[in-house]
Order: sequence, then C-alpha cells, then structure tokens
Amino acid sequence: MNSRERVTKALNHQEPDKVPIDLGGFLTTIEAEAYEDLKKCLGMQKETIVSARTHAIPDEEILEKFEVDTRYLRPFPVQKWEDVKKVNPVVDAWGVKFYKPESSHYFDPVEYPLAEATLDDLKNYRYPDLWNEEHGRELAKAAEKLYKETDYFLIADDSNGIFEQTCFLRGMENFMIDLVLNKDFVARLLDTVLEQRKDFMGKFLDVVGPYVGMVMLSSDLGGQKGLLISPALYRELIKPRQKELFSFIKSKTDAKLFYHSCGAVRDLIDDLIEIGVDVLNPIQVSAKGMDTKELKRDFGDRIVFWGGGVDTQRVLPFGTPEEVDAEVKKRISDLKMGGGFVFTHVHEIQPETPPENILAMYEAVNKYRNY
Amino acid sequence: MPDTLTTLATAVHNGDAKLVEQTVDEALNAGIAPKDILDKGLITGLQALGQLFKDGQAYLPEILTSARAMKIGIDKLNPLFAAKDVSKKGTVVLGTVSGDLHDIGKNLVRMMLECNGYEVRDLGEDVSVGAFVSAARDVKPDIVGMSALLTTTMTYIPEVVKSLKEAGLRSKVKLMVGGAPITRKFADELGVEGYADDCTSAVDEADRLMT
Repeated sequence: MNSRERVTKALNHQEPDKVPIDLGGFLTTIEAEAYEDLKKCLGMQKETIVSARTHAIPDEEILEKFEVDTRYLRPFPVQKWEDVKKVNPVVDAWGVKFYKPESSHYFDPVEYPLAEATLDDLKNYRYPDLWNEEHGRELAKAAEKLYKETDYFLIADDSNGIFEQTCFLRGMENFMIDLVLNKDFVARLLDTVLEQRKDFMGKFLDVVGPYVGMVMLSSDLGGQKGLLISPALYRELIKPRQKELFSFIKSKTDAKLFYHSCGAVRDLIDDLIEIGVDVLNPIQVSAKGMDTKELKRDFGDRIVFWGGGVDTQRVLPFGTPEEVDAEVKKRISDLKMGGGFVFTHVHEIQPETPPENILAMYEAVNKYRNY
Repeated sequence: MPDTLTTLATAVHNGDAKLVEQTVDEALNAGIAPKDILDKGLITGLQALGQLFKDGQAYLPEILTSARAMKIGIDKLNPLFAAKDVSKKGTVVLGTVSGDLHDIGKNLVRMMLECNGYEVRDLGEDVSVGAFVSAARDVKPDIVGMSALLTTTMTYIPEVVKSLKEAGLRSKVKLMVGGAPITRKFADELGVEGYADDCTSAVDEADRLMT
C-alpha cells in the first residue's frame, strides 16, 4: 500500500496496513528552534526554511527517515529562518504586527489594524489581495510533479480561518467585547474576512484542487478548560460563515476538509461535522473533555482524528523517552481502531523538545502503528 | 429600592454599560447609599457572572463586558465615597512574566480586583524580573501577582521569587500566581502564598492573603 492509499483509507474510516504519519504542515510541523536542535543531533547542516514565522519545513531527508506519508502544497512562498529572525517586530500583509520578545520562542500579535475601526470605517475597508501569482505558477508545476511522480498524500496547507483572522485584525479582547456589544460591526467584519477567505481559497484551489486529498483550515475556538466563546454565540455568528466557506471549498475540490482548533472543543464537534468538517486537529489531549478514548467512542465513526498522537505540553518536551513511548502507545491504541486516525503530535513539536524525545516518538509510532 | 438594585445587578451581569450608568443615577436619585449601590448592585451582579464563568457557563465575551460595565459604575460612584467609607482593601502589582505577551487573563484579574476594592498597578506584559522587583520596592504593594501562559515562561516566576529574596523584599509582599500551566503544587513548591486558576478565584485568593 502506498502513502496516498494509506491516508485515503484512513480518511474513509477504513483500516489501512498501518497508521499513516503526518509531519510538516503549518499546523503539524516542528518549530524552527526545535528543528535546529534535531538537525544538530542528526549531523545535518542544511539551513532551516519556514512556511511562516517559526513553523519549519522539514527536509526530505527527515520526512523519509520518519516515513511521513504526507507532502504539502503551500499557499505562500516559503522563507529562510535566518531572514525571518532578523525582522522583529514584523507586520504581515493584513497589517497585523507580530513581536517576539527576546526571552520568548514565539511571534505573537501585538498591534491590530482595525482595533479602533468603526462600522463606517469597515464600509470603506478593502482586504489585502494575498495571492502571489508567480508563486501560484510555480506551485502549479510543483503540484502536478508531486502528484504524478510520487505517491505521497498531498495537502493544501492552512492559510488561517475566519474567527482567528478577525481576532488578529481587531485584537482579541476588543473582539470578545464586540461579540456582545457591537454585533453589527462583528457581522460586517466577519463577512469581510469570509469574502477574503473565499477569494483566496478560490485562487489557491484553482491551482492545487485537482491534486490534493485534503484542504487544511484553522481557527482556534477553545482554551485549556473550555471554549473561548459560548456555543450560542458560535452558532449565531461564526458557524453560518464557516458553513459558507466550507461549502465553497467543497464546490472547488473533492478533497476532505481538515479543521484545526486548539483547546477544549468537544462541545462543538457535532456542529463542525454538521457544516462539513471531515477531519479534526490537533486533538489537544491535555485540554478539558479531549480524552482520546472518549472522543473515539463518541465521534470516531463520523470524524477523522488527525493528531492526538502525543501530548506536546508536557510529555514530549519534558518527559523521558520511556514516557514518550508509553504516551504514543496509549494514544495509538485509543484512536486507531476502524481507521479514522492519522498520527501526528498535538500541534507542532515545540521549542526545547529534546531530539531524543522526537526520535523516541517516531520509534514508538513504528512499533505500534500496524493493524 | 430592591428593584433598582436588582436591575443594576442584572445590567452588570449582562454587560450593559449604558444601563449600569443610568441605573446608578436612578439609585442615587432615589437616595440609596453609594456603598449599597456598590455592594448590592454592582458587586452582586459581577459575582453572579463570575461564578458562571468559573463553572464554565459564561465565557470571555460575557466576563469582559461585565467587568467593563462594572468599572463604569464604580467610576461613577468613586467621587461620592468619603475616604472613611471605602478604603482600598490592598494594593496589587500585576504583570505577565518575561517573554510572555498574553494579557487577557491578567487583564481580567486586574478588572476583577479593581471592581472588588483593590488598587492595581498593572505592569503589562513581557515584564522583566527586574521590573517586578523595582515595582515591589517602589510601589510597596501588599501582593505581587504574576501571570504566565506558557510552560517556557513560567520558569521566570522562580527567578522573581529569588530576586525578591536577594533584594530583601520577599518578606514584605505576598505573591500570587496564575495562568494555564500554573498549578497550586507549583506555587507551593516555590513558597508562593497564593494561586488562582481564574479571575473570580483571584479575588477570593487576594482576600484570603489580606487576612
């Protein structure tokens, strides 16, 4: 069975020969600092490339070593990590400023272009056109080559989602208050971002749609202990717009729809399935209500679990290799029956994760993945 | 009279700042004492929502709007209090630790503490160890509160504890910590007196530290 067949079977809730492995998407990769440590451990000299900010793109050598079944078609040109590090703070094409404090591993949003905007301002607001035509032309060639000359499962990588992008534009605290007090503004802003998402995804899928088996989208709706907003607010304001976006995407491609939300999102899984989500990520096992055994029991026949393979808040970065092995064994055991599971760690491999733990993780996956 | 205060509590609960302002005026015009308006109207409303937030029945949008509405009510009442009627319960220095830019949780703690009688000096985010120590020396707070959202930034909390000891300030303040990766066990192991895992509990914990 080749990689494409393996992942496709898993996505169709059938058991392939072994649990497929994913590494390398914007949401499922390894952070640049952890990647540099891993490369050093393996004696690799190549420079680190990132898809954006601190999200590394693993080299082919690493992907082959870990028997990764997936390869990515990315919506934006990639960058050198050495170049990214030099620009801090950095303002993205939306006008959101990201800053990485010296003692931090991450770029976080700190200034928001629509923080002070009024409803009248929104009426004159034009979203940026983020699609890079030259990148699109190169991507078209790369997509066809990967599709015809390899048997990897190809994925349209993430370019952010409606809710999260809106938080970045407005500032999360402001937006949380808008959701209660300023609903006309919220509706207008969400509709604007929805329009951008459809516009951008349309162009992206015109290029990669025929070749990909899955499209990735994201918008964090959960925190460690619960949802960020009430199910009622989500269903009133966010869900209808996500439904429209997901339906649009499904009109452009037969690929499965992957949705990423960090945190405790159990209470929204039925809603996500209803609006067309086929695959859920990252399955944050340390968050409330996200126990892998219970999720498989309650939702396993209706949604694919792409993630949940190993806890990355404590076990992978701070555990022993033996603890990593035990964790991977448990998660695979909880999730693999009947297919519907692709192994990847919960979100990215974080900075400060010891290389020996990463190697232990993949050794464990290979031990326990066979059906 | 009870109806006005119930209306006020409900307005706070619902985050309706306009109605809070209007109802505070009505209550004052009706001759209700500012202290009763504060305790039986404003604080009652916020406490009810705070409990729902703690129980996972209310969420960030509701608690943020409620706290802001409450603050508007308090700002209206403050000039009317004689110093003897309402003294501040205590002073708290608050900040998110070095390398950490997350602020919503810390901001909520600030708002809840202010709404519940504390004076708060918010140092902001990415606060260096040195800045916490300077604030402890200069502001002379009763409590220093530290927030950390990341397992990689909570490591600065022990450094603040150590630096306060070295500066001879540790015994002069109570410490309180909170944030997603923080636990009571972590606080106890460091000798940190207070721990809270949400903004409502932070007020209860501050009250406990002040007794």
